[in-house]
Amino acid sequence: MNKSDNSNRKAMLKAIQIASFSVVETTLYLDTHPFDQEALSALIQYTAEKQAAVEAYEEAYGPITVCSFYSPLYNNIKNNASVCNCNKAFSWATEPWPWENDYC
Amino acid sequence: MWLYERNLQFPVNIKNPNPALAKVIISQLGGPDGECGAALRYLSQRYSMPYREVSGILTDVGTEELAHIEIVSTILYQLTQGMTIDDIKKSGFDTYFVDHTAGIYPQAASGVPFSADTLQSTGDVITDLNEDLAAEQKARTTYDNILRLADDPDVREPIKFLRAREIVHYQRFAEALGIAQERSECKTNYYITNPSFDIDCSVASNNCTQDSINRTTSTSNQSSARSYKTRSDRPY
Repeated sequence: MNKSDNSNRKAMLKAIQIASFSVVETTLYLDTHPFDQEALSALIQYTAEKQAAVEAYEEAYGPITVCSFYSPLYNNIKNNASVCNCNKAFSWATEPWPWENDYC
Repeated sequence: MWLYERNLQFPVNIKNPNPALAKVIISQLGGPDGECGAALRYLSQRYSMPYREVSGILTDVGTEELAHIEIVSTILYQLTQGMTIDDIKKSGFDTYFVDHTAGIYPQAASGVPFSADTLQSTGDVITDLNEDLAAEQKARTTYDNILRLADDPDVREPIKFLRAREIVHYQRFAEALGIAQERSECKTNYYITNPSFDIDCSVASNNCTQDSINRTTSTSNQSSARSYKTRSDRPY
């Protein structure tokens, strides 16, 4: 992966981190304020933002959760020979892990 | 169950190895107020909570603590990549290195391995939540001390994030304690039952007196495995 591609990948991971943080923070708040309508609406919005950020990343760089490895979206992209000439592999196991330097 | 996300909760990118710093930060992995203890404490306590909101906050904070174990471990991993033997000797990292090389092992800065001795789970909602409030402040103090010792901004940024989380968790646990006290049927003495053991807490706590416990004892279902019999031996 070249440098500019990696910085794009990191930017997309950052977008997931931002949306994920909003989801986590709002969830903790709702645990002790389960009837707060404003927070409930916010959680719905943040969850959609996270979902969109995860899907955009997975489409370009591979699965965030092992569940998405065989999701239709990911499958269409990575198993389509016109998009990817690489051999099929279980990239969940072969891609970098989050603790590696310059991952995120 | 849990689902792993291939991402850190907060980015960690450390450019300069620093085994001396790793030697102190490791306390927030396996030390007395570290993230391993935090995750195990909340994820163990949640089962016996009498109110679902309290189980909820323990589940979700406990899960976040697993992500914090990963952040602290990543800091330790990156601080100890590319060390020379000279770095190891000079930094005092040699006492860790001899047992664990550059592997990540949950221990305190003092070298004491992680132990469940550092946490408690009592089945008592008041006791456990007070333990949790204290735990968050103790972890915050440790992060404060790490910030006093660390100059590298690559290390300070994720540590500052983790410190801020302790404060949010403290706030949520305080609210959970409020929920537990408010919902207790016995406003003047919510210490009267341990919900992980005593059956039908609401009946027992309607009147906050020894008499009421005795009355409940004599009329309760004697075939229940959780018999009230043992309660009559209690000091109150």
